[in-house]
Amino acid sequence: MSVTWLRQENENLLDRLREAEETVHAIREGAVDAFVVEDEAGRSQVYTLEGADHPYRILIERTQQGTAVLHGDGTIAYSNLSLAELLQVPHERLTGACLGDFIPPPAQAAYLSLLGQARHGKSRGEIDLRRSDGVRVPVAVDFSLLSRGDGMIGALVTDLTDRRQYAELAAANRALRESEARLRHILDSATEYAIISLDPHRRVTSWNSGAERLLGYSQAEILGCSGDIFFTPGDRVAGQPEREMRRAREEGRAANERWHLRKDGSRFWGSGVMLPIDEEGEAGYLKIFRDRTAEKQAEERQSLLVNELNHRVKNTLATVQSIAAQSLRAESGGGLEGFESRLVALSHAHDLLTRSNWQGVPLRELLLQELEPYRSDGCTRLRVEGPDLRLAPKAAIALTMAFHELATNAAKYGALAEPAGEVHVTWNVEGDITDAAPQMLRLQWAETGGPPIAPPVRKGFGLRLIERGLSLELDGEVRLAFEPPGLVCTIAMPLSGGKGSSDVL
Amino acid sequence: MSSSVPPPRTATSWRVLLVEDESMVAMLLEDILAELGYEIVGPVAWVDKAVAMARGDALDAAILDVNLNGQEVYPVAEALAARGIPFVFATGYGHGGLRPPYGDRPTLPKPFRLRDVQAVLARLRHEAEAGRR
Repeated sequence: MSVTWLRQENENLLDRLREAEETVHAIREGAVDAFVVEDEAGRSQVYTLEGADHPYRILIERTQQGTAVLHGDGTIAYSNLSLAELLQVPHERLTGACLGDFIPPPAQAAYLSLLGQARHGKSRGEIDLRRSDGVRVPVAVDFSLLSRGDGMIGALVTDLTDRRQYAELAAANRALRESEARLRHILDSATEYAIISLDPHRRVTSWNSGAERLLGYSQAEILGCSGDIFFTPGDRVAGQPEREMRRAREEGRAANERWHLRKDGSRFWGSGVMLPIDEEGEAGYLKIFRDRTAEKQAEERQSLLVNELNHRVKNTLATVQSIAAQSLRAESGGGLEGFESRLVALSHAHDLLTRSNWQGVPLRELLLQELEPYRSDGCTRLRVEGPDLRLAPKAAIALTMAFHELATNAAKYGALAEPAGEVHVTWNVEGDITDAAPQMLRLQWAETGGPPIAPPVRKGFGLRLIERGLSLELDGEVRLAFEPPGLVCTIAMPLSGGKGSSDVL
Repeated sequence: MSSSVPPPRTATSWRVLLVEDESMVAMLLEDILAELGYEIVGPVAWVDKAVAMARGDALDAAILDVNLNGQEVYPVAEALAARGIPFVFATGYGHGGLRPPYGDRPTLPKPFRLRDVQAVLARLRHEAEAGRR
């Protein structure tokens, strides 16, 4: 039962009741004060109420009030048609009948009391009548002694059914209004959720404040408009609005997970459901969703990260494969021990990256870590000097591996093979960050005090990695000089602004 | 590793451009290609350099790492395709990681197997020769 229908019904009832009330009021106020009674012979006899001077025959005949003239014991001497209709009795059978016969037992005492009072003047009250078909009818009765001489009593009987129905409907209506207001309050409080109803043609029929907040349209401007306008043009062309409604109708619910369009043209990821209000969807559809853009983006970021992780793992596996091949196949590779130490160096580089959240590793820290095994004697044969500098992940890994090879080489054949030998690592940065040309890192690894050296006949993995690998990967230049007093390796590579491999702190 | 797969000596004189930004991976592929008897052009780790080589160098085929220092390798692929030079993507992303229209191009998954490198280059060569005939 719709509220609209109830309201209309209530309006009608109210009119009818007002009419009835007016009549009752008129009677009570004495505006009606006479009854025209036809006797058995068809002659009219006018009974007037006390103080009445004029007959109101027409009024009596036409009034919708049940009207009767009773003998003192309640026998009906006259009645109008309205009373017969009220009691569902043929009019001609009323005359001579007793009004008390139409009073159900529970109301008898009240009726008799009212009648008793009327024999001395007036009485009024509300009692139940029982119609000939057994249906109880609530009525107001108004008794007035018409003449003291013959003790005739005028009776006005007003059907209260309408008023009762009105009262019941009004109560129901009030309850409905309250529950509607409560619901509206709940819907409007759910500002996180757009709660929208659509008719079967997908036009908006209701709109909560959450929908206004999320989509930007006010209720006034959106009511009656097509709900398709929240769909992206692509989804509209693809028939998504129709598909969603059809699925909701056929399956009882449809997921509403897609990009939605705001009034200002911006988009958000709406997540929710569409449900039919009744089984057939004839009463329309309910659409509830909220903004899950942040979650959606987090999911996408995560998927991207997982993909990136896979890429990095595969690259690292290929790197390990390369280290294994170089270490185990070539004579100068160092065998399993060489493989293990390179793997550990790679692992250390990853530790540094992890500590810096893959944002860049301080060059000094990287060097110190790689030279750590050779500092255990506490002497000063290792010197590391240069400005603070952060290396991008790829450069950090490449340089870690290069320093590992240099240190290993020095420990075997160079400065670190002799107690008096020294390794001096220095670097500086050339150029300014504001220059158009990229800043250049110039780094020198210089050994002194080692045994006499000569350029190797065959370059092993380490030297190959340093010479060719670094220049490839860092877009820089690497030079190795095998001269007395020891090996000198110089690296020149662009920093930020170049290929983006590193930057200065 | 090499004893089980005899290098196809017929590959001699085929020039393969190697585009890879990680030096150790590049060294590995260099060794594999040398073992298979291919002539190596590169390796090169930067998109702009690789594009220049793809446009101008004498090449028969190319192996392309997809991500070069944060840049995608597709401009190189375009330049090669424009000259009708066959190429294969070396990638840790797998097939799903390739952009259209390269989704159905052959890939070399990392880490590499010598026999896969051999097979994919043989396939490129076969296609190139079939195209020339």
